[in-house]
Amino acid sequence: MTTYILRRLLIMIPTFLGISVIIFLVLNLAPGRPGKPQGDTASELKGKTTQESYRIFREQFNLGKPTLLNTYFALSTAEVDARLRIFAQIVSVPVSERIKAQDELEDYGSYAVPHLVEVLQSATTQHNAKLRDVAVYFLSINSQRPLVDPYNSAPSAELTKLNHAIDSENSKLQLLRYPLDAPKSQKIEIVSAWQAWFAKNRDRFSYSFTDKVSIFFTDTRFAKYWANLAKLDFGISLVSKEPVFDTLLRKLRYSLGLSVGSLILAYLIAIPLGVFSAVRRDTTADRSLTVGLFMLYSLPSFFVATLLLYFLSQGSPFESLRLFPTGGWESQNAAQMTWFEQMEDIGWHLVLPMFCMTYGSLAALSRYMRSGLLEVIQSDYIRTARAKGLPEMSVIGKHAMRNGLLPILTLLAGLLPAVLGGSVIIEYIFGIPGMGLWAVDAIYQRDYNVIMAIELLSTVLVLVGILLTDLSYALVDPRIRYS
Amino acid sequence: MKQPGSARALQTILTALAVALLTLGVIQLNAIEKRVSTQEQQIRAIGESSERMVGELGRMKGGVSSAADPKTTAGHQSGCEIQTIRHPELKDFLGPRDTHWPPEGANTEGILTKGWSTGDPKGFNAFLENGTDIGEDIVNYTDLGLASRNKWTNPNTWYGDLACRVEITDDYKEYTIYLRHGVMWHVPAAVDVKTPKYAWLNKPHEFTADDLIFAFDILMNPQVENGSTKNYYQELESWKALDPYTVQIRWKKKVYLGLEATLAMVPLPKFLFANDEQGKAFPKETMGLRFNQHWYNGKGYVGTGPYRLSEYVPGVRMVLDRNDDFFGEKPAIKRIVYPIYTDPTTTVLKMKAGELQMVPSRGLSPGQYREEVLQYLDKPKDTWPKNSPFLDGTIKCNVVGAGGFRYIGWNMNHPLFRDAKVRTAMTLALNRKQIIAKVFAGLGDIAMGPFLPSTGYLDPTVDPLDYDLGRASRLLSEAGWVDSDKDGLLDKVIDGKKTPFEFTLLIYGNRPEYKGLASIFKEDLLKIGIKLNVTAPEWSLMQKRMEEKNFEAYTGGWGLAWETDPYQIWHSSQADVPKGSNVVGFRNKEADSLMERLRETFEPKERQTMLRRIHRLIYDEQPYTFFMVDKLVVCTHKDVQNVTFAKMRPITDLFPWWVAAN
Repeated sequence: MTTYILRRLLIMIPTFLGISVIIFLVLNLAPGRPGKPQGDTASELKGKTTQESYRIFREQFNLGKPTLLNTYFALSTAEVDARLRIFAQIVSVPVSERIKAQDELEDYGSYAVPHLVEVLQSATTQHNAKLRDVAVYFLSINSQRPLVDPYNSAPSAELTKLNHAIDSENSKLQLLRYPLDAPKSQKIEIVSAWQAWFAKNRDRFSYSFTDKVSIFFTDTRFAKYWANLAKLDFGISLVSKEPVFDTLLRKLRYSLGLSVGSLILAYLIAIPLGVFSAVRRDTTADRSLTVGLFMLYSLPSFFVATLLLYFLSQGSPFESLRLFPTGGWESQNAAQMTWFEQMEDIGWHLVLPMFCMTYGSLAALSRYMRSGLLEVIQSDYIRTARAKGLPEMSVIGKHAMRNGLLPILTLLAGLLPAVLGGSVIIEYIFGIPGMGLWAVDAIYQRDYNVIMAIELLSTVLVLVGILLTDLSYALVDPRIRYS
Repeated sequence: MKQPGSARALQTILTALAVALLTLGVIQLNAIEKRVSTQEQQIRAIGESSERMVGELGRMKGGVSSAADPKTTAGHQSGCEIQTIRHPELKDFLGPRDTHWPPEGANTEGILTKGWSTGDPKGFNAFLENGTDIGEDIVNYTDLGLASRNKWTNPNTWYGDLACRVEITDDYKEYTIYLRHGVMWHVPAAVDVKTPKYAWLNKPHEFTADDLIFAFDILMNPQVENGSTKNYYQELESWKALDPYTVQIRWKKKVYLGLEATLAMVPLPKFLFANDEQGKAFPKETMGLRFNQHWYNGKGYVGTGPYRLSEYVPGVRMVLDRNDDFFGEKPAIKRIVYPIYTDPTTTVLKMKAGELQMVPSRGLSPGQYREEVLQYLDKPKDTWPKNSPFLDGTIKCNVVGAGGFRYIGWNMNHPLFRDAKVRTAMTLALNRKQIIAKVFAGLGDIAMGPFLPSTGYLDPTVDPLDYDLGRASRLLSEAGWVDSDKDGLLDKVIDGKKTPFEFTLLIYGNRPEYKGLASIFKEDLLKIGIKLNVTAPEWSLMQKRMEEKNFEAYTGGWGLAWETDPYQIWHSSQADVPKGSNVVGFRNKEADSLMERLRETFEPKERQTMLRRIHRLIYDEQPYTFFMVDKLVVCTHKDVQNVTFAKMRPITDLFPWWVAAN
């Protein structure tokens, strides 16, 4: 058994890696880019992210790097030249091409610098002013070097010195550009400054074979993400700029409270109902119970939730029905309560959402219980038990239940990721700040780090869930052996 | 096989049905129009009452300031003993403050619970691009800029907040700003300053010129993610402290927006933002990056204003407490609590339950307003539902201007909409009056142009282009659009190809109102032979299509500040900048040169003439169909007193309000 578990755990690692690559690829290939969605008219003007902020943002989160493999070291001058011409509107193309060219040129980063210098050189000799101007513009951007380990809280003297040098060079290079209406002498001066700078720093842009190999594999979004993940660093949210892991822990509390609670509730209700149906098989009581449960099952929870809030909350039009709060996790004065009062308060807030999350699953769970028990009841040993003259309670409760619970218990392991995922709709309507809502917001906002963290966590839970399911089979059914 | 007889019978029945439906439609439309007009009168009445309130407030304030000599009152004069006036020949740019609080007889112990329906704020750092959703609520109450406009009375005049005196040279290039002495930063909330870890925060920090200079340093730092703010400071030349309480700001050129950009500048608490969580200063070169991801960004807000953000529980609530150490006049409301929730439709429930005393800043949605209030207004009182707080006077709703407008933008580069006549025809075919009344529950006025109507910058003589399908048809045929193949759709030969008039309108999917607008527009357009398709992409895709000019028409909106610079949206250079704001591609030489000159014009009369001319030039081209100027429904519990509204955003500024003891 131990070797089996060990083997399964080992197999999980490549499976996990494979899944994570696929998630990463799908996520990064989806159209759209990170950012806050438009709320109302007020936010449109200010909420518009400018190109400059977007570039800084992309650099910080490595979004400019290629997704999986980096071949930028093999750029040719012709490629850079073509994009510069598109950007400078020397060739006429739709504006979407211009945006694409601009993004690509910025993404090339320092890899484009030697080619930009070359284009600058030839544009100057050919007196192609437009091309020269854009080449200078992009040089002032692409020559910027990223700081080394900028978030290090205790940088060594060496690191500080290095970053200081990078920063002072960056700020100097940044100014080596000119407005389009600058006098000709200034333009010439800046162009020659670039040529002189490149002549001095040429070595920085030539790559040896080992450099190329390491760039090919490690200077990518995927590698950078995994480098951080290996240190158990999930990064920070691209939108709220808060550490993903901290937020995750915070949200988990709400989602776990809600979903574990409703899961327990669902089992507590569904098991007796299933037993009842199995024992009273095909009677009117069984049939009407089934119909009733399936009617509940087919009521959409957002509808029920809204109705419940409307009629049973403090804002209800009927005074006698003002039983529950209008949503939220706790009352506004929860901070002043004792621990016991606080728990009571949270429970009071969770009655309606928990009910909404529970009633839909009753049908399925009680059906599983019913069919599981029925199968057992028809088996020989139950007949034997009955023949022995045992009371019916003991037959069902002691002998049949143990095996009848099997299918429904193994379901539990499969529900593990759902427990974490939370319920988007219920969380939204009842204003519970849980995982589900967070995940959906993150998807709309293309908040890659948050989505990755949630997806990876649920991947792990699915894998663990599958393993637990298999193991639980073996535990409850001695005939199943893993070796 | 069908019998010809039965086919005819079917035809007759269908025709009869159609006629019946049509009659029904006409009758309904009549009824709707009647209702619309009564509703309009009611809404106007509400609007007038709020105008009147503002007027009264102004008078009251006048009385207060004349009764007590402002020089001898404490408050906004404290800490303003200037040692040396550097430019005695220049007069102080700042004037007196017109509005004073708390109002006489106000309860100064009241607590206001105000809704916050947009979930957790995306960070509390208002300097960064993702910090814009806290501007009107948190920043407005907890922080101060150098100076403010008199937003209740005359927004063209300024008074000092953190600044005591501002001297501006005649060429508007050099600003000398004298700062108030003795202003203290709030003690940071959300971290326990009593613990050893945060002990470095647990001491009083005075606001000085250093904090202002630090704010400018951060603002202009190329690594800081604030491109849209940086845009306003492109012509800034230098910023330096002359002494700990005097700052000199220099601009390269005379720029009109430089005035606002300088005076409304908000300093940053350097003691907090220059340090990491252990209190260790960031190295200068990594400052920008560290600022973007500063450890305090998501925790709270530290300002100098009359309120302090004293508690933030993510997903649960934010609490603002009145700052007892505040140097100036203290507002009446002692505490503002914002319960955080996510579903705006529960706002009404929470109001009814008494959990909220005021709706969120964005007000009720048109649907909620119609459901709770509007539908009853023209019915007799005895048919109103019992115990609805919205009707029995427990909750009062005011309809006020929101400071923004909505529009439909036409892609002027697209062959269909190249011609101004076609775009004008589109405006004529949009029944704005009916849509505002029916779909938006009357919460808007027809928009006439891209500026706030109350600023007087709109040319009052432009053709209103009221709904007129006949005129629209005539304009379209003048532009060469005729139904040559009798298929019911207009067509025209464009670039040698016969093109039917069919286009797609992009609407922002989260607003159900836009769907209503689109369906009414669609019907009207079909009557004049134009087919309209509607798609509602999610925002990130819609934005992408607009950037790539891959659209024919879209619905959009702009929030408006008191002074706007039309350059960003209307200058032809912005049409060529990738991802520029001139999405529709408006190009007009005369408007261009006016907008360039406007940036250097300070004389109010001259500005008005120029802006009116710009408005006329834009309006004649109809690059947008200006649709409506938004109105807000602000509902408050009857305990909330002195509910007055400012003339500029944030309209619902709470400073003059108070909450009765209950």
